[in-house]
Amino acid sequence: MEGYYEKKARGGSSHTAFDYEPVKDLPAKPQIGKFTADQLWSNLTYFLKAIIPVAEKAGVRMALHPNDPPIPISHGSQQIIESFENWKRLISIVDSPSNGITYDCGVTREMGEDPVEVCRYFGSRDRINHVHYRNVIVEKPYVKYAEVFMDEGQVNLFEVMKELIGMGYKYGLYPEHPRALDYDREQPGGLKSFYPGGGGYTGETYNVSFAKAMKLAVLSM
Amino acid sequence: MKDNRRDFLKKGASLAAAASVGGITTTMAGSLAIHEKTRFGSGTANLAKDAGMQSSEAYFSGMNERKIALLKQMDVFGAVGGISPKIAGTDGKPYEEKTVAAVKEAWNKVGLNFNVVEGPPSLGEKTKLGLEGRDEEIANFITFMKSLSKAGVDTICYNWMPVIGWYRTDNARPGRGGALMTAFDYEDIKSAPPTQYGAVSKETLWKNLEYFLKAVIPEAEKVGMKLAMHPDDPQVDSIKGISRIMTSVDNFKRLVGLYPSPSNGITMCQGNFSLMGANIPETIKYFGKKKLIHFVHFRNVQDLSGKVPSQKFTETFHDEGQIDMYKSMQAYYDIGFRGPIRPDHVPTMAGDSNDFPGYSTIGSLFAWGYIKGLMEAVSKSKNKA
Repeated sequence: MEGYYEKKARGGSSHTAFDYEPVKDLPAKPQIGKFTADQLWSNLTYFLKAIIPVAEKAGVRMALHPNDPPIPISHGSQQIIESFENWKRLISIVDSPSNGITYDCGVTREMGEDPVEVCRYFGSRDRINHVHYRNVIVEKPYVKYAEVFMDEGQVNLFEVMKELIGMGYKYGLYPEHPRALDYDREQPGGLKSFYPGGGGYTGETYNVSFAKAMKLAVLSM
Repeated sequence: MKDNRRDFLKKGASLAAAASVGGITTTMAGSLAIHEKTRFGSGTANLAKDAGMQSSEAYFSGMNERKIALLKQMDVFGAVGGISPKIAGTDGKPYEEKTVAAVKEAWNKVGLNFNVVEGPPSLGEKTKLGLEGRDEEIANFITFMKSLSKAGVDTICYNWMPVIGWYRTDNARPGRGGALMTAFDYEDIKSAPPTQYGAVSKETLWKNLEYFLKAVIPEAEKVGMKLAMHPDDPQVDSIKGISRIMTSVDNFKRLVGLYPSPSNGITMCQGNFSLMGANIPETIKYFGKKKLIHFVHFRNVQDLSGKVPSQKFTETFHDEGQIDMYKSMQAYYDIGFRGPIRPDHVPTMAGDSNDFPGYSTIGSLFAWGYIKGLMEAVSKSKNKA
């Protein structure tokens, strides 16, 4: 959770903000050490080549979630699933619908990319196997941003939904990362979020219905 | 559509002024078009957001601190309610200027814009049943409108259901996943004995309504007050001997024809109109084109009787009833509706209490996610075209 902090938002709710600057030079963890991008790619390739043929046979669609936050280095180790280019590389390692991604429109925007364009790239290749649906406001791509309410960020969630439905996407869509609301804070035991500024199940309620409305809207057009 | 949009832009300045009353900040600042830059970090009653409508919530159980906090977090800044002396902190009459001003101020203090009185004082049985003393009641109602106007509130949601108002035969009907819904079955109460007022005919109610409108609407016009008649809920023929008249689209046409005026308008309560058998988007367009929709209850229902008008129904989640919610929202946008809109009668969801059936906090939150999503979708799809 390094780099994340709670940021007060509308009506006393909270955003989950991230800043790479204070954490970019953190030392390697002794029990893990430092890894290069080449090493991680090599391990990932080894894994995919072993797993994907089996997944295909079993009818399982793997959906690699991108690095979130999409930073280049964490505790001295290079990160690999942290850019549009590298997401493309991932699906080229083993060319199969079972080797897909979790399309996270929040992370996409955190990298400064156009969520609709990226959605189209993977969707048109049938490589979106899961969707994380959320919104962000980015100050500086990869470096500084905040996770916000669905209705106030830079991701055009309407266009994203239009793209997904337009391409016939039929797998899971998770409206994730609810915002911290007083209602959840006041629950016995307090807010049980595992990240700063994150919310609980009433926050999820808002997200779910918002996503449902977007879906209805697109289907009605 | 283009015309509506232009009209909206033109009205921008006055809307901004209205919205800034009482410390409600706005970020209108010359840029009303919905584009990404204006949306960032709004956290305010930005009218360019929410498809230009005034997102509002009902506070019938008073100034519930927790609910206020939650709704501000939802970016919902309109407050709908009555004139409660408790809120006002005075012992004055509810229609008097100082009482109304105190209520308005109390809402300002918590950062909300008290924009609709729903369930106005001084409109009771005497007026609706035509009993002795109605002229005094009506005079007080006119005083009330003046008081409201001075306080900067311009909409009154009222109904013509004397003695028996909102009525349900079940406040805890299990719905989706065990959520609790309110429901109504005419069979359960058809044989209920009449009230102390005996049988009240439709003719009597119409006559009294006309009397009221002729006295009140000219005064409403003078102070810029918008009266918004709510349909009878439920919209059945009669309950316990008391007839019901606001039960069909034709009767609403008759209502607005009794005294044609911009002040003689309606509350588009989607649930009741739908149970009358009306097509909601078409009905919105009909009254919307006449500029007579002053307030919206954005909700969904399901008829269970197979009859028109419905004799048995349940309220539902916003996403599962019989109303086309997208086309309804689109219709408000198309007619250029800029007024107050609120969800109504939400299911009680897991983790919430059923103390106020229809007004569960988490249920309201689900409703708001849905409404906000539809508002954003209609404005984005329209702006692109």
